Amino acid sequence: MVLSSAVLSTVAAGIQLYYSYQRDSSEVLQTFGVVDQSFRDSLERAVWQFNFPQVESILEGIVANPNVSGVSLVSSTGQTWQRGQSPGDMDEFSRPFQLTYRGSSGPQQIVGELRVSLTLDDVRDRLWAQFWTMFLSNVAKTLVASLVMMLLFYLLVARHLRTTARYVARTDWIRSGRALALDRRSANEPDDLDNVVTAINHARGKVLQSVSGLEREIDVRRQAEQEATRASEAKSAFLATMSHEVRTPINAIMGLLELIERADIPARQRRQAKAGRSSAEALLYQLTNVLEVSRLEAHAINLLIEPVNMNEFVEELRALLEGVIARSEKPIAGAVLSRLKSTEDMNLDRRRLLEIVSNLIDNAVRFTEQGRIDVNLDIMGPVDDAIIMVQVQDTGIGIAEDHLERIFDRFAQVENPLTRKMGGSGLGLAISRGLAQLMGGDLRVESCVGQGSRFTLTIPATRETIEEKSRESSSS
Amino acid sequence: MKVLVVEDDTITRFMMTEMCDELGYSADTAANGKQCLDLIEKDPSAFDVILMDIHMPEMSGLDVSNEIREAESDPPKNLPIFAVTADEAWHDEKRCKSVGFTGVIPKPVSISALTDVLDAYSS
Repeated sequence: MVLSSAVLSTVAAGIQLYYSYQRDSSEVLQTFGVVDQSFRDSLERAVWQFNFPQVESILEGIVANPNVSGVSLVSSTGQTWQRGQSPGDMDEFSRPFQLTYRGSSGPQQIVGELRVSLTLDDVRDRLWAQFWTMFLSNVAKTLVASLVMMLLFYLLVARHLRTTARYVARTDWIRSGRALALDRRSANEPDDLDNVVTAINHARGKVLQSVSGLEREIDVRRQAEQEATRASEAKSAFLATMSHEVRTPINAIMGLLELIERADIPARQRRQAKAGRSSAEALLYQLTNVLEVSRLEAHAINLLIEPVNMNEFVEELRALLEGVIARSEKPIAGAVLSRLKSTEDMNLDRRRLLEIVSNLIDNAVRFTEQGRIDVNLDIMGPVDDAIIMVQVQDTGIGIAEDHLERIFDRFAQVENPLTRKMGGSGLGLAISRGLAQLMGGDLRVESCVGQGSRFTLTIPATRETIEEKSRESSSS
Repeated sequence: MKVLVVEDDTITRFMMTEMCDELGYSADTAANGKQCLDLIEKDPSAFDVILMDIHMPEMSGLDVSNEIREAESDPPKNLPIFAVTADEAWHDEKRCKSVGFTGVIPKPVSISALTDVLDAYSS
């Protein structure tokens, strides 16, 4: 703003200077008239009379005019004079004067030619001085005006903007109990600053409103969460009690039936006792499965991760597989193939992993009449981010493609008269997959009806590091 | 040889003594931890093997075992105490030994498992 006012005043001054230049230069041109009127007659006379000192003094007189830069005179008798600069080409500022003389008698005669050159130097000097005076006074005026305006701007606007900015920048401005108010007289009509303040306070009100709404919402949800947690804990506690209270009598039944079997009783009663014990055993198995599913759902299963020697683990799997196959009394060959290269320990829940693989082996044997069951064990990936892969492959009846994912559903045993005949609650695979996922891994299946199935279990695990090992051994 | 069955469930307690009987060992019973400790305090050498239920109200089997171990610490006697439990977390010989038990018999108790344990201490 200050700058544009300076530019405007400079342009105005320029225009003023231009007109002043026009005026002054026309004044200069009038010098020709002055020379013509004041000096011509006396000069003509002096030349006619050959009064050369007179001629020279008159020329000096002409040159003395500040507007005249030079003058030259050529007389008809051949004498020449020159004072000041030599007059150049004849133009607007250089003019020839014919000098004539009429004696007391006789015709008018040409006595010579006077050339006069004018100069604008003087005018220009004056104009420059005028220009500088104007320019400097303009600059001074502009400076003063801008200082005054800056001060006014600060007092009327800037300091209020600064207060507003500080208010909004404070992190607690919404929660602090104070609305924004500026230290200024309020006019009758609200101005732009008042509008800004009103808008900020309005926004603050809106935010406060939604914040308190959100806080209420959070309270409600927190309460719901606490209730859910309490319910979940109650469920877990109930399940633990159930587990103990229901299993205790079943365990007693099984022990007592086993005692009866050993007694000196007829073979028929022994068979009956044995059947009763199998039945109790089946009941216990189902109960354990149901409880396991419930615990998985309630996230009530705590993993026990510990360093596991993988070579020992492979041996356990081998014993397990051989045991299950032997008990089935089916013509099945079994082998555990381990591709482990190192003997390092892996950090994992040995008992749970064994539970899953044991379940897979049980299934494989249950659904395979003859052929072979292979368990493959491999560890993939880097040391600190390895994946244990266990595959259980059988040559059993296989699973139809549209049933492949359903076998992992709880209670959904694949509709197959053969499987129903073979028993099972259908919980085993659901539990196995649930446990695998609890350990951060997964359980998948590929199958071909009539040719067999392959279950692939993947569990992420870290290797026991050497540092941990040495620390443990030094502490023990 | 004398066996002490510590078990809060009446029928299980009965079943356990019957099993011991069947195997030719006489068994006394305690229905809770306090009874067990009282019996041992009365005669520290009365029993050769203790079969200890883990999940019992008031005093758990582990608490009772710890008290017995403390009482017999000078001189150390190392009375065989076996944890008897259906809790799979306890079905780990190493873990049981690390907290002072001699070993573990998983529930449901089978005659063969009991035979293995008792026969080992009958001589």
